[in-house]
Amino acid sequence: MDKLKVAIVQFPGTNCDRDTYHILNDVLKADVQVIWHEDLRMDAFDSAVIPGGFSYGDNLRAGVIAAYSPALGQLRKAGEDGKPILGICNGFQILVESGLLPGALLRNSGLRFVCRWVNVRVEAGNSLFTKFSENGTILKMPIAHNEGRYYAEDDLLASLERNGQIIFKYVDEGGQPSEPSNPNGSVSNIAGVSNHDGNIVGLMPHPERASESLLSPFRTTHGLQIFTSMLRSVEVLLKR
Amino acid sequence: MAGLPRFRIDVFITNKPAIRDPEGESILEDLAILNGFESVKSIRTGKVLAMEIEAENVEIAKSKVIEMCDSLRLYNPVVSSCSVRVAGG
Repeated sequence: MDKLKVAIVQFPGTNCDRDTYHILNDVLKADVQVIWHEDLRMDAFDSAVIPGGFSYGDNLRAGVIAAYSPALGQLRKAGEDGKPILGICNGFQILVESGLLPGALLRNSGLRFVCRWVNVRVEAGNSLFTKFSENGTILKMPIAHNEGRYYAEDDLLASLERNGQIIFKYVDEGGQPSEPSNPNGSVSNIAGVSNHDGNIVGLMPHPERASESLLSPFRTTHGLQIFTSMLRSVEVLLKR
Repeated sequence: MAGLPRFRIDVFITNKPAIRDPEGESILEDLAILNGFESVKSIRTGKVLAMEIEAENVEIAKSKVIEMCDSLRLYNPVVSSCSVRVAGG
C-alpha cells in the first residue's frame, strides 16, 4: 500500500510547519509535504495539518484572514469527504474562523501570552485523533498562545457535550478540570474540539512539541498519540 | 468625468455583553476606579476600523461597508457585534 499522504498547510506567518514536518516525516515516517496555501489541492492528500504560527500577523483576529484562503475551500471539501484534518494552535483558530469548527477563540482571560506545559485530558478517546489514548488519559503538552480562550454559547456547549465533540480539556495533576489548571479562561476548560462528524479537530496545545522525550521536561512523548491516531485513521479510511 | 464622492465610515467592533472583556475590566478597576473615577461604572474595549469609501451617496457607502463586515467576517458574529457610523462626507 502507498504511504499515507499528509499535507502541512503553510500560510504567510506559519512557523510550526517544520516542527510538524519533522515529527511526521522523521519520527513517524509518513509521506508528508509542506504545501503553500495557494497550492493546496486536497485530491493529492489523504489528510492535512494546519500548524501553528501567526498567519497574516494575527491581523484583525487570529486566523480570520487565512480563513479566506482558497486552501480552506479545499479543506472544507476534504472534510466533507471524511479526511482527517488537524488544526494546531493558530491552525485551530483558522478552523474556527472558517466555520469548519464551532465556537470562537478569544484573547486569554489573563491578557497575557501564555507559554507553558499543561495537562490535557482526553475526553473523547477513540476519536480519529485519540485512537491511541483511552478516555481520561492525560497528555502533557505545551501551549503558547495569546488567543486561546475557547468560547461557546450555552446551547452550543450542551450540543458539543452531547455529541462528544469536546476532545480535550485542561486539567490539573489529579486529572480534574479545575480553575487553576485553565490557562486562558476557556469555557469548561476546553482545549480542543471536533466537528460534528469527528474528522476535523482543533486544539491549542502543540503535540508536535511534545512528541520526543528530548523536548519534554517530563521525558514524555504524549503528542505522538495524536499524530499516530491520525495516521491510523487515514489507513482505515483508505481501506474502505 | 468627476469621480465618486468619498465617505469616511467608522466600524466599531465590540464583544457582546455576555462575553467577558478582561482588558476593559482592568482599565475600569485598576486604572479608573483606583484613581478616583469611581463614577465610571463600565468600560468595554473594542476595535475601530476607520474606512474611506467611494460611492454614489452616503447610504450606498454605508450599506457597502455593512455588506463587507458581514461577508468577510470583519467581526466575529459568534462573540462580537459591530456598528457602522458615518464620520464625514
